[in-house]
Amino acid sequence: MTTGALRPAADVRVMDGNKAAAWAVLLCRPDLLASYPISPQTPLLEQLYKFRAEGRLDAETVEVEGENSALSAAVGAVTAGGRAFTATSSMGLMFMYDAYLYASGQRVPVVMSVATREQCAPHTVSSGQQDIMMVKEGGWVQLVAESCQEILDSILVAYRLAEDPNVQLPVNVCYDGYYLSHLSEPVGVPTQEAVDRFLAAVGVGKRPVLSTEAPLSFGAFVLGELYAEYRYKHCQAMQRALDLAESLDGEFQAAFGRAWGGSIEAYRTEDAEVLLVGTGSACGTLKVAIDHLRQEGVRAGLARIRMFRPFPRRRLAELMRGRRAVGVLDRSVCFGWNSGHLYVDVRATAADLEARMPLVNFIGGLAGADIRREMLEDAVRTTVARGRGEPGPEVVWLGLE
Amino acid sequence: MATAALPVLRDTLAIDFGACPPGCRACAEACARARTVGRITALDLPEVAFHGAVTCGQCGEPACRDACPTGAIVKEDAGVVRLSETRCVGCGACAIACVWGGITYDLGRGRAAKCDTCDGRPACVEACPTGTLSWVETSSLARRFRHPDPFTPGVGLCPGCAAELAFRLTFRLIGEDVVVFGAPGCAVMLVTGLNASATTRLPAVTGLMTNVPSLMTGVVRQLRRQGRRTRCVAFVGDGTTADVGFQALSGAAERGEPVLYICYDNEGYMNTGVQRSSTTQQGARTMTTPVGSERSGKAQAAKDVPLLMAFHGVAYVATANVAFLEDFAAKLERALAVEDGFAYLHLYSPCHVGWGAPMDSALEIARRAVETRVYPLWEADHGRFRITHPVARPRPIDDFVELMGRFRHLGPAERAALGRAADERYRRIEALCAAFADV
Amino acid sequence: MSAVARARHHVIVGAGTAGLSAVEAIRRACPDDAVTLLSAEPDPPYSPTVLPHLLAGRIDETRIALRPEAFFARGRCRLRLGAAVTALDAERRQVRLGDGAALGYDTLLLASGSESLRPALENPDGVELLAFTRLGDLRALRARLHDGARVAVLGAGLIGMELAEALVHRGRGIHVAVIEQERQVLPRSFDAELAGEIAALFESRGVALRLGRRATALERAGRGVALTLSDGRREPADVVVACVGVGPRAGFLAGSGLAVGRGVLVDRRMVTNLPDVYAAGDVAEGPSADGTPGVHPVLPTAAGQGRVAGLNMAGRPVEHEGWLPANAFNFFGRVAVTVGATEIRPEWASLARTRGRARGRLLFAGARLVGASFVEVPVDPGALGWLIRQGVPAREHAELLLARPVEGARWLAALSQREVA
Ligand SMILES: Cc1cc2nc3c(=O)[nH]c(=O)nc-3n(C[C@H](O)[C@H](O)[C@H](O)COP(=O)(O)OP(=O)(O)OC[C@H]3O[C@@H](n4cnc5c(N)ncnc54)[C@H](O)[C@@H]3O)c2cc1C
Repeated sequence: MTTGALRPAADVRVMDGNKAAAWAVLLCRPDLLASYPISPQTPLLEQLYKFRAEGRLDAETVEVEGENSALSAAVGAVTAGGRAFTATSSMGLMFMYDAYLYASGQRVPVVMSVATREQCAPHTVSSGQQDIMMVKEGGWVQLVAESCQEILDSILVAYRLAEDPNVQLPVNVCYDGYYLSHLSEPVGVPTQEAVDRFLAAVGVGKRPVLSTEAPLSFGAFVLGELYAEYRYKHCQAMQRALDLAESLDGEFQAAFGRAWGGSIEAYRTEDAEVLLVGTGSACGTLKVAIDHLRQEGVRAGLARIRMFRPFPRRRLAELMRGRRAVGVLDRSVCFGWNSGHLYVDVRATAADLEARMPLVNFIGGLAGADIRREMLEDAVRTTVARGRGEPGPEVVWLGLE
Repeated sequence: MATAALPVLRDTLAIDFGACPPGCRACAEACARARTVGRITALDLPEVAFHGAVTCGQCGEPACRDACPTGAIVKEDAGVVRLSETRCVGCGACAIACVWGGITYDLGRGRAAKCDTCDGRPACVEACPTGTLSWVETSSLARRFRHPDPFTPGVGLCPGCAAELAFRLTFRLIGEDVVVFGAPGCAVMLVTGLNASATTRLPAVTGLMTNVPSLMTGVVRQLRRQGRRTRCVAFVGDGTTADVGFQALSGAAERGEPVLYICYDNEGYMNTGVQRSSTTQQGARTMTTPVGSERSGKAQAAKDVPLLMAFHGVAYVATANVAFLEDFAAKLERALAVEDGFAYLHLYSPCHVGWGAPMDSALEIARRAVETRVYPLWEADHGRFRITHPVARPRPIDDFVELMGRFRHLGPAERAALGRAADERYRRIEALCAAFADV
Repeated sequence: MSAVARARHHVIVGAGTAGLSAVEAIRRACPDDAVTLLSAEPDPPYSPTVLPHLLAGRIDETRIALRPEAFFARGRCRLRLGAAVTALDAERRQVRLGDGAALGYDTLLLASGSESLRPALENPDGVELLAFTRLGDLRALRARLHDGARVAVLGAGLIGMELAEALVHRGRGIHVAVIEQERQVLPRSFDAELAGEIAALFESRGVALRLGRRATALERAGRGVALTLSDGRREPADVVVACVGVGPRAGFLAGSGLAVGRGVLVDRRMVTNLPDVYAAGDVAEGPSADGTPGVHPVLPTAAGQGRVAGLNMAGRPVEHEGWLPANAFNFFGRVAVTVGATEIRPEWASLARTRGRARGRLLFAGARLVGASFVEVPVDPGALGWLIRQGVPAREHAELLLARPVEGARWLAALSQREVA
């Protein structure tokens, strides 16, 4: 069976985000794929099964009966020393939440993509980021992509991060359902050799696994002080994941001839008076809006969060320092704070700064609702106005008010 | 403290007492032919409508030996209580000492006579036309559970726990090429350690109640990928199996994952303090099915999980319990013989704490559960159903019910209903045996 | 380490049936404990039951050891032969041996068996009076048995009759006379009718029976001796063997504070009045099945009591079920078996069956079987004993028990054992 051999050496193809993810997984040579269908990630797994059927991918495939089992089967394979992949969305992510916590608490370096989607109820299958926000405290690393290319690249990075002996954490690669999962773009597909080289630093033999030769007990019961040690080490590993994400970029560049970019993409921030913060594909529209307003002399910039967990607090604080105002775009809601989730994190980061500045939150794009350029231009203008001291509500629901 | 340096219990002759066909004396005749003096007695008593047989049970501490004045009776290392005819002086002390009908004073020859099992090939068993007599290879039991117990002593399970016994025996039979899986529940105390101390040198995984079969799937697939045939064996409770984890179990079974899944069924959530599960028996009192003026224990019948598993069409399904060790060992072996399919063992594991019974009662409850037909012992080997321990004449249901406080509130009518339900369960399996004896 | 777990030292006085049963039990219960087994005699452990069989030539001395030598090597049991205990000091937990040495114990079992009682008769010449309870007695007897010798046996109890039978069996023109003060042979074992049959059997083999007469005096007469009987007749003989009964061999315990009645007094756990001192077998006076105490000098009782004593010494509290009279007799190939009561009481019922020489009799107290005796019929005394001990209602099956005693008793016993189990 031939595995993942790609010809020509490196090529650019037009493909949607699910397919880009599938190509990335193929190149990472997983041992096991577990699948349970749920929109909008389903075509990703279908593509992988197609690769498998065509003999291009040599992996175990497990068609499980639910998402909890999908993640658990992947966790099992990784525990036994393999590399595994699964994917889900929305309620699927909720249904596997116990296994989700088990994977991180057990420090199982599994990679799972999430084609993000709104969360019921009410029922909907539309795009949104509520699902990944609901699990953000689950102890996983979460990467959020803006483009199909970044989906592919992030999956390569995800395995490197996850399996790094100093990290050993599960990683989510998140991308907006439909907007990216079903949007076709040109995607540069690296060569197998390049990927193999990039991942050579990690893999089998670099971490403790289940074996009869050197038996280990996984999932022990732990009390008190030792439990605290588990948590402490988990937090340290999170920090190391953040550090590694920043330092890895050079290596990524060398391997694939392009940057992945690290935890935050800073867009036109050098001279920006106001900073916008966002994550995911809506940032593309935001960039267009910023470009447009700059022609009018509005000096706005964007900090796009690429690594949402661990949260790149220090880098973001530096990007926020000295701005007149910061506006945050959210595609989810944080009940109780009654804002977006990202906004809560940005507010917390603002406390790291000596000087206070106005903060404003824009909630939009829930359940696939359009976020048009004009809406975002308004949002940037509102941010500028707040920077000038104009009053207004802290949370602005785009398209509602 | 060292264990007693005793002759090891070896093979033995088993008699289903009182199950002989009338008029049959085949065993005694065969014994007389083989041994000159009949040592097995056919109790063919039409006057009291009884037809059975008795012979020596090869006691561990034979009273006949102790009474013999010439050292003519020896308990051999192989287990046989052997009489040397050249030393016997015919004083008859052995026949007075033995109350089991195991030694016969032969008038004609002025000597005692007793069974020596024909050195392991008893003529009576060969002659028995009905299988009432059988040769039980207890020595094979010792051979089967031949590995050292891989778990530390002194784990935190309750004294007298049937599940712990079954657990240890299971892994003594399987050996070391195994990964053990557990889930939160009583037996997890054995699977996993506490803090940094493990209970075993076997690789072990404690999963969630919802995902054990799925974790096993991942592990076994990965091991096979590495060319390893290491066994993946789960030992989990009925809550995990029948309730919250049933979906994952059903999925793994349907996919035919090559694992052995053992459910120890103590009929409830015992680890959380005795709440009902879907396998709790009808009428049983638990903390969530209490007894009061308006409620009388669990209202519903138990979910028949092994049958559900059999109808998944998996390679091997069996019910077992440690009161029937031979049967238990055979089933473990058959389950392990399944290399490329799913095998499921449902172990009846009385919880004396949760069932309101004395600490030393678990095995007796387990035994009577079978003898009253409450818990039929059967297997479905690649779809072929077979009752492995037929119970032709069930004991009255009261023999079972009376052992446990959880049924104490039941009146005669409710007890009778339990008995009928047990009978139905047994006959359902019988019907399946008839229908699917050869598929 | 707890006190219970400490390996202890058990000393057993007497290497007979009771002593060895205790060793087996201790070894099973506490394999790490040390056991010392003492025998006053130089011979490897044996049972006096074999004496008549040795004399008759049915077995030779190479085949009578109760255990092979390897038995003592295996497990921590030290056998000391020719080591007679001369005194017991319960306070210091010691026994004194013939050579003066002291031996300490944690628990002590007295299993010294019985000794022959001396008949009360005048013996002015100091004529040698043999006994028949130890190997030494047998050897002495053998040495005096020339062809055609005349042997007078005092007492027609079990031992006397067995001796007589063995002498007849041995042949060589030996003349045997048995002198018995009761009017029947085996007075404590059989009723007059059966005893009469047995007597006739002996007489037909040439044994002279002098019933209803006591020997009152013994004196030299020519090259032999002569006994004077209570009816004035004289009984000439070459050898005189006293078989007038046995009593506990407990003389060496005098002064130890041990309570001795007809034997060393013990309860159901074989415990004496002294701490950690037990007794079992012929030397002990323990409870019978119905609770009344007594000495019951037969093998199954010695074995059972020895086992119970051993278990208790090993720390396992176990009670003896109480002895039940039971005996099997084989005289000249005719077999008689008795279990339980042999004498009928007025309130009991007796059911009997006779077929030629075969006969059986059952005694019932209400529905319960209390006694059984059979002659020339295959029976299972153990199963009958079970029925009697357990009070199994067997009356309704009396017919079956008489017609087919082995099957009937085994069937009933098995049913009741299933219930008890
Ligand atoms: C001739 C004869 C025939 C018999 N036939 C039968 C029969 O057919 N059926 C039946 O059931 N019973 C029969 N008996 C009775 C039976 O033998 C005894 O009941 C039985 O042997 C008692 O066992 P025991 O262990 O109490 O004593 P024993 O077997 O007599 O053992 C006593 C031991 O104590 C030792 N000993 C004694 N004093 C000391 C001491 N001071 N220090 C150290 N060691 C000492 C002796 O050396 C011996 O080893 C017969 C007895 C005799 C004599």
